[in-house]
Amino acid sequence: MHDLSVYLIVGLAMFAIGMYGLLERRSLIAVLISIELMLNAVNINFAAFGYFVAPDPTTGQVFVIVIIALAAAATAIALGILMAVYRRFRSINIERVSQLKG
Amino acid sequence: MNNLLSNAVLGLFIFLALGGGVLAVSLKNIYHNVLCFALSLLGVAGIFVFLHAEFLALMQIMIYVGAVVVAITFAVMLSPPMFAPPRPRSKAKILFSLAMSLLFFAFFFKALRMSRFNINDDRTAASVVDLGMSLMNQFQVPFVMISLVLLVAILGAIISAGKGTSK
Repeated sequence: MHDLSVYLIVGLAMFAIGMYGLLERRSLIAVLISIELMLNAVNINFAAFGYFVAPDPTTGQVFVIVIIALAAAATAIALGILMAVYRRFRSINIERVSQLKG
Repeated sequence: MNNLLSNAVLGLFIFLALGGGVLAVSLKNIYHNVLCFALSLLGVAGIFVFLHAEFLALMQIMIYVGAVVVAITFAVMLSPPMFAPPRPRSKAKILFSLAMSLLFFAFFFKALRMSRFNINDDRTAASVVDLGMSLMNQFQVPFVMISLVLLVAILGAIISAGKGTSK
């Protein structure tokens, strides 16, 4: 079971779960959670390839560290935007936030 | 016996990661979503341990479970009250999302089945010392860039959350 394909399939399934949440949920918080799930799926893939395939085992881990830092930055920005959206629209339902829709 | 035990533990972590993920996107209560998301992140940390990336597992727990989930928990305060009955979801949207994600899964599953990777047989686990050396030598520029990006992101978050008209 400790095999490259197992980890890749787990990452793929997690990405699909995150994609479902991204398409279906209406709360901005749930959308943020879905994006983080997708980033985690990518992290699993990078760690698996870094361990099983890459000649230098640190390469994949460095990628994962960069992605985790970017995800933390993305969360900070998303929460800032969420506060601004709530102040403007009194709601965090993404279907009510449609002023820029044109 | 040892192999069987490690397989069982790996299966448990995979179950935690995927089951937590499914609950995190499917439950109606937003607070339950956040808690199940934390569960899923812990499962991913366990998977990192099996990939001989102990430092990543540590970072996963510290940054994700310790910082990101806590920050999201504070944002739950902005959601509608939990005693209010959840608004019904549209069936068409659920079906569409389910179909899209299943299509995505099936497509890439097929691609995975068809592809061959040349597995490195004499693989070694990277220690934390190796990781630090490689961050300071080979990956110096990304390391510095990341700190810059974090600084700018924090400033941007403060600016976009702090000021603004309230009506």
